Parts: sequence; C-alpha cells; structure tokens
Amino acid sequence: MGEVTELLQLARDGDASAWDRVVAIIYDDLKRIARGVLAGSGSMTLNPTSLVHDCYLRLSRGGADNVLNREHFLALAARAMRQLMLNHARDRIAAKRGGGAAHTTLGDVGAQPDLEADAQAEQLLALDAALSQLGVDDERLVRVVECRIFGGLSEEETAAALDTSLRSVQRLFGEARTRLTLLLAA
Amino acid sequence: MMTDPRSPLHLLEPGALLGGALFGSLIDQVSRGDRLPPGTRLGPFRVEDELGRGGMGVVYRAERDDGEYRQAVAIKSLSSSGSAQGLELFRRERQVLAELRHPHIARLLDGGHHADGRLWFAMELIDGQPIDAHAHAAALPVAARLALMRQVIDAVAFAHQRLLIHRDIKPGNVLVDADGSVKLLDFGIAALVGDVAAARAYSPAWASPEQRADEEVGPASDQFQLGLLLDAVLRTDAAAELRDNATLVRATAVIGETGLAGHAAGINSARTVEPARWIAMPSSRRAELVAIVARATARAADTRYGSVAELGAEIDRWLGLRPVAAYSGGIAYTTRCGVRRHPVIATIAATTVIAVAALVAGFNLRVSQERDLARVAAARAEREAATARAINRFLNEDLLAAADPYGANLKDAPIGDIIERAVPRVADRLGSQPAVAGEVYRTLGDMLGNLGRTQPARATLDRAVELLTQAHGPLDARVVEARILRAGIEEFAADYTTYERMLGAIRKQLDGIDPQDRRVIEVDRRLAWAAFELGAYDRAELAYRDLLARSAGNPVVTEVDLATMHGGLSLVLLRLRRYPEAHASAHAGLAIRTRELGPDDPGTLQSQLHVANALVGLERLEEAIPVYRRLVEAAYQRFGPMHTESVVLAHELGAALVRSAHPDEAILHLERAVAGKVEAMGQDAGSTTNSLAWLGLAYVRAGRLGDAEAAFARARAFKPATDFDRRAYVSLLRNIGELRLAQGRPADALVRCRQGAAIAKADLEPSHPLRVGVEACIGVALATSGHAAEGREMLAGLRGPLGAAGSQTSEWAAKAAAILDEGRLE
Repeated sequence: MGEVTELLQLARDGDASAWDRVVAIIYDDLKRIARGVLAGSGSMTLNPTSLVHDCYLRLSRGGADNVLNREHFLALAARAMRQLMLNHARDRIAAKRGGGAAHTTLGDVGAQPDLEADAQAEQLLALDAALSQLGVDDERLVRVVECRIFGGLSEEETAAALDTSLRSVQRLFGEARTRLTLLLAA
Repeated sequence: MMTDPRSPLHLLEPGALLGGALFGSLIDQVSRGDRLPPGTRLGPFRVEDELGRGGMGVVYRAERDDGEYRQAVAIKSLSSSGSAQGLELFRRERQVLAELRHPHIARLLDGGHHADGRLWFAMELIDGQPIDAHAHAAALPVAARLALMRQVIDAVAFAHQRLLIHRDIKPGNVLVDADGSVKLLDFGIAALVGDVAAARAYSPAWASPEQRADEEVGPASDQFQLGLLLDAVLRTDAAAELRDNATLVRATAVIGETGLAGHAAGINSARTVEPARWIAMPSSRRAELVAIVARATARAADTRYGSVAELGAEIDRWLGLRPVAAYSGGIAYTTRCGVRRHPVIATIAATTVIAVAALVAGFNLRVSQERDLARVAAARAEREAATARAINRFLNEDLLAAADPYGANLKDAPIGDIIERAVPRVADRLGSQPAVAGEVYRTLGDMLGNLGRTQPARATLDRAVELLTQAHGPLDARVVEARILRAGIEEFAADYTTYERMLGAIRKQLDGIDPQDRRVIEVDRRLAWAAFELGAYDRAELAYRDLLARSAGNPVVTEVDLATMHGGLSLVLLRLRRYPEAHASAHAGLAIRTRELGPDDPGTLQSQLHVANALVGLERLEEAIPVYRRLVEAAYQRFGPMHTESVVLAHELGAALVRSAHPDEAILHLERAVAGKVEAMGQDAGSTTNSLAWLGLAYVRAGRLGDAEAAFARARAFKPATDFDRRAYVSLLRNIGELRLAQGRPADALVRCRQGAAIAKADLEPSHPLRVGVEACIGVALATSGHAAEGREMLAGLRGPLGAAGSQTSEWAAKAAAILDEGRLE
C-alpha cells in the first residue's frame, strides 16, 4: 500500500501514468469490495458510496493516510470512479458495435443486451465530453460534479472533500448544471 | 427540476448514475469478468469447465495436458490480482505448500499467475461432500463425527507445525470423499491472496474475532474456526437450510467454497455455537463437548487451548471417556453457556447488579450508623436525606443507566468501562459532601481494582484517600482502609516493592499508636505477606511471629485472623524448608478454621492445603495425595475448574503425583493447572511456567516425549523476573534436561542444565533440591556423553544431598546410583 501513497503523490504532481495506476489499484480494490459484498450477501443492494468509503478505509489502513486525509481521498476516488465508469461505458459501446456474438459463445450473462445500460453509456460519453469542455474554463465546477455524481457524496461531504463551504458547493453545482445544459444543447 | 431520462443531463440527478443500469452493469462485469474460456492453458493444465464461483474466485475443472500423463485437477483462479508483495510471497510459499503432504490435506499441485497478475492454483480434485453435510447425510453417530473432526484437527496441527495457518476453515473447505476420508482444501491460500481484510471478506460467518478485528491471525484463529466447524458437524440440520439446492451443494463442495447462493441465504453475520441444535447424546457428555467448543471458540485467543493439538487431545479424552480439561460441571460453566447468546449484556447486568448491590448495602450501613450518631440532630437528618438522594441519583442515572441493556447505547461496554465513566460524575453529584464522595470513590476504586483496571483504580482510590483524610483525619480507620486498598492495587499489579513501600508509609503514620490496635495489626499483617511475596522469608517469619505474639488474647483480633497468620507463617516456613514447623503452623490454622468456619469453608480448605504442602515437604506423599484429591474435588465443585483455587490445587496434586511416580494421573491434573493458569495469568507467568515444567516432566516420566516437548515449547518465551520465576526457570531447564536425556541427547541436556545450574548456584544453597537436581542432571549427562569420569565424580559428590532431598530428586538419585554402580563394575 506504500505504493498507493507514492502514486498519489505523483498523481498530484501531475504525472498522468501515475494517475492511471492509481485508478487501476482503486478499481482492483473496488472489485474486491464489490465481490466481498456480493459474496457476503446476495440480497444486499450495492451502495456505491459505501464502496468508496470502504475503499478509503482499506487504503488508509495501508498507510495512504500519511499523504492525504479522508476528504481528499474521497475527491480522488470520485474522479477514479468517473474514469472507471467511462471506461466501462466505452467497452459496452464497443461491444455493441462489434456485435455480441463472441460473448454469447462464452455464455457470458453479464454481456447480455441491456438496452438501458447501453443508453446510459451513450449519455455518459456525452456528459463526459461536456465535462471536459467545462473543465477548460473552470476546474472547480468539474470537481463538484465528480464528487456529487461519481463519488455519490452528499453536499456536505463534497464541501469537506473540496475544502469549501456548503453554500459554495450548492452554488457551483447549480452553475455546472446550467453550463452543462448549454454545452449539451450546442 | 425533472430532466428527460433520455438526456445526458438526467445523469446529474442524485443517484441517477450510481443507481442506474450502467453502474449495475459495471459491478456485474467486475464480479464475473475474469472467466477463462474452455481450452485456456495454464501451465501444464487445460481448463475444461467451470465448477463454481465464490467470493475468492472461480474454480474450474482442468486436465493436465503436457503429454506426460492425464490427471484431473481443480484450478482456482483468484479474482483479484495480488500485490507485488503477494506475488513474492506466493513464489516463496508455493514450494512450502506443495510439500505439505498429509493424508487429510488436498495437495497443491501447481500455481502461477495470469498476465494481469491474478493468481491461480491447481490442486487435487476432490470428489466429496462438505463434512457437515456428510455427517448429516450418513446420519453418523457422535463418535464418528468426532473421529472425522480428529482427522481435520490432525491435518491443521500438522500444518501448524510447519508454520502454516489455514485462515479459512469451514465446511466448504473440509470435504469427505467416497472412502469416508477427510480432505482439507485451500491450505495457505487465504494467506497468499493478500491482507487480513481480504481474507476476512471471503467467509465472514466463519471469521474468528481476531480476523474480524483485523488483528494478527495465528494458529488460535484456526482453532476458533475448528470450534465452529465442530459445532456445525454436530448439528442435526447440517446447515441444510442453506443448501436446499442439491446441485449447488455439489458444486460448492468441489470448489471448496460456499457459493453466492449459499451466502445469499443470509450467513453474512458471525455464526454462533448452538448446542441446542446438536444431535442427541447423554447430557453429561454433551456438557463436556459444549465446554470443549466453548474453549476453542473463546473470544480471547489466549484463553483457547494452547494449540490445536491440545484441542485434538481433548477430543481424544472425550472419545476415551476420560475427563476433559475444559469441563467444569460447576456453576461457572453453566453460567457461561447461559449467557452465550448475549454475553456482554448478561455480564454487565449480572456484575453491575452485584457490585451495585454491595455499594448500596455499604451505604445503607453507613447511613444507619450515622443515623444512630445523629439521632438528636435534625439538621443532620436533613443532610442524610440529601446524601441518600444524591447517591440514588448517582446509582440510577450515572451507573445503572449505563448498564441497562435496553435503555442505553452503552450496552456493549464492559462493566469496567461503565464504572470508569461513572467516576467523573461522583464530583458532580456528591461534590459538596467529601466524606460521602470519598466513600463512593473508595468503592468504585475497589471495584475497578477487582476488575483489573489498575490505572483508573489508582487514581480513584487516591482521590478517595484524599477526600476521606480531609473529612476524618489521617488516622481514621476508614482512611487506613482506603490506603490499604490503594496499596493493594500494587499487590494486584504484582509490584510488591511498591506495595511494601506504600504499606510502610501507612505504618509510619500509625507509629505512635498502640501496636495492639486493629489498624496497626491490619497493616502489619499485609506487610508480613508483602515480605513473603518479595521472597524475604526471614523478615516475613519475624513479622508473623511478632503478629501472633501481639494477637494472643487481643480482643480486636478474631480467631479467623489468627488462623490467617498461622497459615501465612506456615507458607513462609515451607519456603524456608523447615517442614516440621510449617506442618505445626498449618495445623494450628486448620484447627481454628475447622472450628470457626466449618469443614467445607474455602478458608478451611486453604488450611488443609497448607497442611498437605507441609506433608509433601516431610516426604509424607501418601498422606498428602488423598488430601489434595479431596481438595481438588471440593474446589471444582465449589468454584469450577478454572478458578485460581482449583488451579493451584490441581498443580499441587499433579506435582505430588509426579513425585510419587504416578505420572499418568499427574498429567490430567497438571494439564488443568496449565490451562487455568494460562487463562488467569497468561502464558508467560512464572506460575504458568512452573506448571508447564511439571507437566512436561510428567510427560517425560510417562514416556510421552513428544507431548513433553510441546509442553516445554510453550514456556519458550518465558523471561524470569522474580525469585520465584527464577526457581520456576531452573525447574523448567532441569526438566528439559531430563527430556533430552530420555531422548538420548545428553549434550543438549548438558547445555540446559548448565544454564539452570548457573541460576541455582546464584540463588539457592547447595542442599536445595532444585539445585541438587539440576546438578545431578549435569552429572548424568556428562557420564553418558563420553565424560564418564567427570560425571561420576560430580555424582559421587552429590550422593549425600540427593539422598537428603527426598522424592523431588529420587529419580536422579536412582540414575546417579546406577551410573556409580556401573563405574564400580568396570
């Protein structure tokens, strides 16, 4: 876990490949947690926020809290979740365009056509493109959206994660929504 | 503001994304994404079909496919990739695991990792049923079920000897094959896949308390899981409610995990041991088994059996209809079972009620005394009423509210926590009445001391002394009593030097007072005992003799006090090895207690113990042993086997039996003594080591050298601190020496005994049996390891002391005589 600590430091210094590796590690961890949750109780609905929190707990036990506190981690994890969901959305769309035949021969139930998920994947790609544009102007707006939408954080948690006030979070999120609406309509 | 669900903006609604289909699809992919298609090559194996999946990964049937020979194997492909350290660990451990050959452990055949770092393992493909399902399906009787468990325990013990911990023992990992033979799956794999938290997540219901707490996991954790397994194997229903799907049973059996569907049935939370669901058996036999399971699944790892092998031996005893170590048959045990369901609440309720009842009784007494004094003073009556109100509020709102299992959120707090929380409230409630507050502090401090919370007890009693001194002056009996209690905390903490110093300070304060005064005698009695604890026997003897002289005809000294002094003196004399005098003192104490307290009182039993100890010193073993037997029986009935009293007696009886050449019976009692001392004092206490030294010796004398080795090994970490510790250590070293001689390793015996002799020489006079014994061991070791002349010379010099030291060294005297005889013939 010392590795994560170092990578996070690099990522904060702007090293893109370090960031990818952080995402990979967090993904791995999410997988383990998700499996644990699924294996532990099939009836329990997955709570993505608690996944992120669990993930933080596990990393912090490994010493990652030397570098960042819980709030900052949550902001990072939200960003990682954005990446993960985007990757998944791209995979789905690629699989749909390539045809599902290969999956069917493997009997992969998970790849069965799921129109709703496919629709959301398209929406997410569009939203993500708009977010990237928004980020050119104002990175803070993107951060708030990431925390609220991808991290599943409450307004209060978002405020803590971004070291700002509750009112600012509300204001920034409203502004982000307005500007995203404009960008997507364009 | 609602958005069109078809617009990307819809994803900005709270929960739309994380509660939506795309996220579900991601998790779905995450949890089943790592599938290997049939035909995939892994090392020399070719994947055929999937057997099942669980929290840890997917299991496939595979076939060895390297042209050499065909072999069906099970391949477990883990779902998470190992960390860098995990891979390194895996490389090192794979070899160890592959060499773990035991008839009841499924062998690890091979292993490697996929390109992305995920690990896979190939192991023997076992076609069998989970052990509990098998026991149920075959309607096995109890003995057959336990015989199966013996195989499991053997396998685990075998691995523990090789420093491997399983970490994930549960029915799904313990299969019974067509021949009725047990196979344990997945040994060491949990350890390889990463951290404790990960291992814990796989089988939450079967996790040990230390796994749940993310603590270091050792052999005791496996023992805990074996305890749960034992419970599962004994049940009538064999977890049938979780496995109604027959094919699932089959699949999970082969893959060695409870599959998703099994978990879905809701075994997420910790299992509890439920003897009510066990198959029928005679109630006394059941009670013993309950005790065994309770011991193996004790919450605190250090109160379980010392090793998995001990658990196995216990089951052997049960199967052989011999008494089991864990079973008391007394009230303590029954209570323990009764409270199993809600242990913490029951404990709090019971303990608090008792403690508070004592507190209230004490106050009522005090209040009524004060009422007598204040009969004429109306103002005082008013204050009394206020006091009673304040105390009641303190009890009800600060103390009892916290202990109310339904009312408060503190219900998981142990009684000690509750009292600690209540202490700061005393000042709020009773601040205006220092005398009363002082009393409350005194009582709470005493309770904390009894609960072993020495630090808060010190602070609370210090406060009590301060307030009581303020209220009554330094010489008041209540102040002296509180100061004695305060000093007693140091006795409890085994810091006898501080104990003696604090008592000395109290005594100094009382210097001008009549030496026959009760307060002075109380303090002096404790000072005498402190001297004994410090090993200053000469000083202790003088102190006791002086006390007895002052007490004769002294109206403030009761007969029972007098008996206590006789008893103390007898113990001192015993240590000074003045056995006839020790016997006389012990007898004086016994006579008084029998007359005053009756024959069955614990005090009387204690006097009998003193007499028996003196009899042993006098080499009248055949008189002492029946006394010990009666005492052990009485103590077991009265206190249960884990009580200090029972444990001490079991040790004495065991030691006497060893000395009178009855090692087999001695082993039974010494095992109980060791178990009790480990529970009460810990593995590394001097007293525990002393019992282990005797237990090991009993094993040696009974010819059970392997068990002796194991017993001595448990004392390995012992660091002697006090004089008593050092003697225990000499005894341990000498007995290890005897084992080494029995093993035909005289050179090793020599090393141990020389270590022991060095300590003995510094501490003990030349005629002390312990010193003589350890030196005789050196002589015998020399004589049998090619230094015949040197050895004989040494033994010849020891002939006199050996004869004088009696049964403690008779074994050595015999050995020495044989060697010296041999020398004459040559």
